[in-house]
Amino acid sequence: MKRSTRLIIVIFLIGLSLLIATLMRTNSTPTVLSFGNEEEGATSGWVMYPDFLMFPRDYRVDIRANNTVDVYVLDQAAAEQWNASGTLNAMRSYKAIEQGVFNEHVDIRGGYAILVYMPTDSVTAIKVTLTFSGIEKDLVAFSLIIMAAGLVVLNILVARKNKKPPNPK
Amino acid sequence: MRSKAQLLTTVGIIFLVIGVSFMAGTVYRSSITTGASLGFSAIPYNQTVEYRSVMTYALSPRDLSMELTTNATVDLYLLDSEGIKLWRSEGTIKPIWVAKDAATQTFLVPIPSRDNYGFLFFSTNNSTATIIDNLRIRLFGYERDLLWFSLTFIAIGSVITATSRIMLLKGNKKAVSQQKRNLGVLPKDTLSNPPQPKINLNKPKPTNQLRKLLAWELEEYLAFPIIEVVILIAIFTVLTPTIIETSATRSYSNLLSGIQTIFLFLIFVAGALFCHSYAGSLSKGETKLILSYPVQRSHLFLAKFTALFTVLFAVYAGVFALQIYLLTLSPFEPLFYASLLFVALQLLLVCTISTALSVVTKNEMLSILVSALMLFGIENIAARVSLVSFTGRFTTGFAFVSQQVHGVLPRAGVLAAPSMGDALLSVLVTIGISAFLFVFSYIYYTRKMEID
Repeated sequence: MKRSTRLIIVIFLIGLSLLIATLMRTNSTPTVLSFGNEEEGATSGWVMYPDFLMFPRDYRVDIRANNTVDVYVLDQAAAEQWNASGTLNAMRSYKAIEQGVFNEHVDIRGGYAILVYMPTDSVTAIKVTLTFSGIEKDLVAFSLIIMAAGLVVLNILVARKNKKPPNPK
Repeated sequence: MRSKAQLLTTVGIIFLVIGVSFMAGTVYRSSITTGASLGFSAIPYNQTVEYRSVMTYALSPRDLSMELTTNATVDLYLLDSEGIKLWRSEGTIKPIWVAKDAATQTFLVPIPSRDNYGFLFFSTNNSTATIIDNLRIRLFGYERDLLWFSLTFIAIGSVITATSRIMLLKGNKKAVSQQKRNLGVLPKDTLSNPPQPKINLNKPKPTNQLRKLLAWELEEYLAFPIIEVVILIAIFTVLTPTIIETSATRSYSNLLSGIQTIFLFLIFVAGALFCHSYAGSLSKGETKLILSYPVQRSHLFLAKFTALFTVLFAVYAGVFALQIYLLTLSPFEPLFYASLLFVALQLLLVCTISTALSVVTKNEMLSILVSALMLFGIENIAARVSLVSFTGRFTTGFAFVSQQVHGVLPRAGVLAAPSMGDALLSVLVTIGISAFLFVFSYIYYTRKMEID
């Protein structure tokens, strides 16, 4: 087998195995994250549930509270900004809500935080549940790019081979 | 005789394939951590209960971790299906495991068999206000029943294959003695003056020779589709283990979660490649042919080892580097480099063990089986925290570095901070054994080994 053909096969197989591993990772990455104090329900004012890892997948936000609350999803930078200066720069926000389910997606893998505003001077029980589904889009894109690169190189090689003048013999 | 032996070999290999595939499936199943989280009240002992409730779960024979969070001490009973029946019908508690006066803490219980299990909680101070805030139960490790099943198949397959090999060897010996008898018929002159092969007396430079041997080794033993399969296995083993730590600042702990799967596949991949290269080339007569040219044995040995080790490590290190992105780690995360060092040491150990077995036995199949079974057996017989097992050594080193760099222990699988002595031992034991086996194999291959 020619070295160039072998290289293309290796590139293509790397992409393919990455794609299959990405599909398999849907079972191995966390599917449910839960935050809140539904049982005790003794919180009011601003509460932050920081520092959890999210992957670029689809997710469903399920908010259940016994009062009207504001829920914000912050990325790592926004969470740090909130802690440092109190500036709110949320990635997603759900305002004046008691019960609700929303479908969203994460663009970038990294650390995230949930910030909740509950009415002050009022005992509030809240539970925010994030349920993840789908595959990690960045990995799918990465594996498809590698596979496409393999195919493009293969096409170039085939085209070059076809351009060669016919053997006079 | 010969056809009988060949038939036996086929049967043995079928058993081996079944056992190995079953084991691969079991290893993959172990990457799926099942778990649940619950919150409820504990029952006071003095309370009369009309319907005796119990939380039941179907559990497989794996290790069960229970993270308990309570506001007061409780007695925790784990019942099997018989115990559940007894509790429900008579109110008798016959547990298989008990934790008295349990507070907020984590328990590790090995589940003995595949069954329905029940969790019972009693308030030790007979209070109705004792709340179990959270009971997080998680199953991890291998399903022991499946593992035994696959090991039994592998053992039966090994015995059958070994028996058939012995039968074949006996058959070959008979054939050789017959040939010798036939040689007696040839004229004496032919035997005393055999035709001499032409030998090139221009000695090549040693570095040049080593380079050529390296290239030959890479071309011969990493030909299509070997390297492709190695890459595929590396990607699967590194990328698919379960993410157990969801905290972004402690995501480095996830490097620990799938390491056992990586090690186990390394045993098979590295073992097969090294045994194929050393023992395979000996049994096929390749080594004899190469050494009939002006090639030094030491160069051939070093070329084989260097080529295969470098390629295997490059593949695994390349794929392992993906973890930096996947777990959103800093490129300068010390625990990543510590993990990589342990993977390299583990690879070195597997390579030296396989090499030593190959040069001693000169039998490809036998050395693959012995190295894989020995390493896999040690890994499963030794405790998860013992320095004898790869996982134990990795966990010890990882926990030590984690404690030194981040000031905390990784959550999964580590109960106490290891000492510096333990951490050093986990590295030095691997280096020491590898160095000894490498030197032994080198000396044996270059000075003692007879090539027939």
